[in-house]
Amino acid sequence: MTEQTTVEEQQPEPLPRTILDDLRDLFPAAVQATASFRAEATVVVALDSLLAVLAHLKEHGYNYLEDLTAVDWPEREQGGRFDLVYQLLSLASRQTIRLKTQVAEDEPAPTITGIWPGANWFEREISDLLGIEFSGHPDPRRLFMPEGWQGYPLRKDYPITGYERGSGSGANPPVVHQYGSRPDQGPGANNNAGWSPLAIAPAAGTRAKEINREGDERASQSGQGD
Amino acid sequence: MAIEVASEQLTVQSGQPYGDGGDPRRITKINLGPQHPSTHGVLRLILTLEGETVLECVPDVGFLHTGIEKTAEFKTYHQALTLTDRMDYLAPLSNNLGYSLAVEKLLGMTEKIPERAVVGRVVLVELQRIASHLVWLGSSALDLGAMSVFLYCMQDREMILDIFELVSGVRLMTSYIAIGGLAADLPAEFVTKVQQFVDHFPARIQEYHNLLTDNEIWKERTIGVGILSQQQVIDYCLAGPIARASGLDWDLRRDMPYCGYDRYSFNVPTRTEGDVYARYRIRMDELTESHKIVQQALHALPGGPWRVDDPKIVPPPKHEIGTSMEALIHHFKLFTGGFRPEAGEVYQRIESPRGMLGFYIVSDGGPRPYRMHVRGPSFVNVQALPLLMQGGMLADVVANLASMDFILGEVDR
Repeated sequence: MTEQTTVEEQQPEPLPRTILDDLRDLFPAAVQATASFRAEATVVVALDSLLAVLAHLKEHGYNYLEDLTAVDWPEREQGGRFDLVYQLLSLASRQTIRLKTQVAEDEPAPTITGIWPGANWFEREISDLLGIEFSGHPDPRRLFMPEGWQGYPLRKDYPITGYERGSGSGANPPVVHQYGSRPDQGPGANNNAGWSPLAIAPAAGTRAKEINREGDERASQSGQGD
Repeated sequence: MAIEVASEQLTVQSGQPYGDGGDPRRITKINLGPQHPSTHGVLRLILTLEGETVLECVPDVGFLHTGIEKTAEFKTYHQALTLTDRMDYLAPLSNNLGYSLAVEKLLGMTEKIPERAVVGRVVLVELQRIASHLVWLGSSALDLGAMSVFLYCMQDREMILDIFELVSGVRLMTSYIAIGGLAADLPAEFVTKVQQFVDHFPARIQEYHNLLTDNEIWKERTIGVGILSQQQVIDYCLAGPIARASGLDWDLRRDMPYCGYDRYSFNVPTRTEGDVYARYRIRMDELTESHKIVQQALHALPGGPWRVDDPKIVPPPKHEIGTSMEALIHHFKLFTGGFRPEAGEVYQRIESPRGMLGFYIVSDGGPRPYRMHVRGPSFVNVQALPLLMQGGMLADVVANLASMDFILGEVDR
């Protein structure tokens, strides 16, 4: 995807040539690819020069971090498994740029909270839901999921039904889920008794059809696992 | 600030102001929420207090996490639209618009949306902005003890929800702004109903101003409370009314126009104080500006088609399905398999009532989004809460919470 270089719409190039040239000149080894899709510019940079490139962009007008997220590409052969995606915005010139960098599964990414303190929760969200570690992060707790949650829900290999409702076989191994430190919810306590939604077993075949993303292959999956 | 003076005086007089052994510097930890009416949802704040001063504020979120981004990866593009309603549930039409614009950009058909849909969308999202600001106004006044404002606001919001019900059949989770245009044509009574609201509303804005703007108690509770500087706003990625109240003159509708906003004339109110009162005044002024835009857009609303004429993207008209083989096939294909945009990625930003709302959609060429990420304005607003709280008074916590106008459904997704 990132290799696409076609400009689809006849709109002015949103990325000023100077910034892109600057990046190429200053960080010759860092800029791995550039792409433009639907008049949006994307620059792929190497992970080790990410901080330098971001700091440079911030100094040169792109002072607003709009969004920070990650995408999981488990089947990608070259480069890391994840894309970290930074959306930068220049409030003065109203230009935007998308910066991407590839991170491998067990590779920590540098935190950018030193450049934009507001990246704190964006990075916590990514490490919570996709399992990317940010080295030097000031507050590396999970953001949404409870402490002790097994797995990273936004990874492609995490089933949409979650592990807890899994059948206990095949791709859905049962996972003991710890809620926290309350005595009635600790290890050994029967915290699933009765009312807990986690105790509800799925009806046979009800969820399996959703597990496959490809619409036309849904039928072949039904009945599996449950 | 008045409270601080009072307690100091009390210390001088009795020496034991707190009745707990007499140590006014005792550190207390309290939980505000998750089940607290002033948190406007399920937000938990862990507050460390010294006397009545907030030393530390740690927001704890995730109670409403429903995995919307994950779910979207398993829905076709049309199906995922309904998920967006459920994030910012006080402004579902704004979410619909952001998502639809993103998918239309992905399909490369932004320019093909018919005029009636483009203008109708603006009328609807600006009404939505008014409705959302009315809930904010009513509930924040209620939090600070002014109950009647809430009832007035709900009355006006009802008029807007009636309009939404008229066009979509639903009052809240409309899913009405859809990929390719609108989900159905705007009914004949739409213009009259909106015109009624447009005629009615200016007097009501004046009434809200009369109730609060010069109200001594209201000013006492809000002026100088929870100050954010412009640099903090940029550092913490804040936008929308909060940023404009701190002097950041930035509004996507004017600065990076989408959906034909460049055709309407409106002002972008800004203030420099950055306190709770400034945020109040900004949103009040935005009510007036949104009213202006609704008026202009309503007059410009043309007739004609209300969604693109592309059977691969939008479902065929219902009456054709019984008579036309092609229509039946298109209908079947669309609802069983969806459509397949080419591989690529887009980011679409719009000005939601709460700030900049962004949809990042990655397509791998399949019928479902490979990845959909939502940059919710409420997410960054909640992150910034400690900046407002720390060093302030416990009594101001609620004023600060109300002024940030966040929706937990959008924070947690």
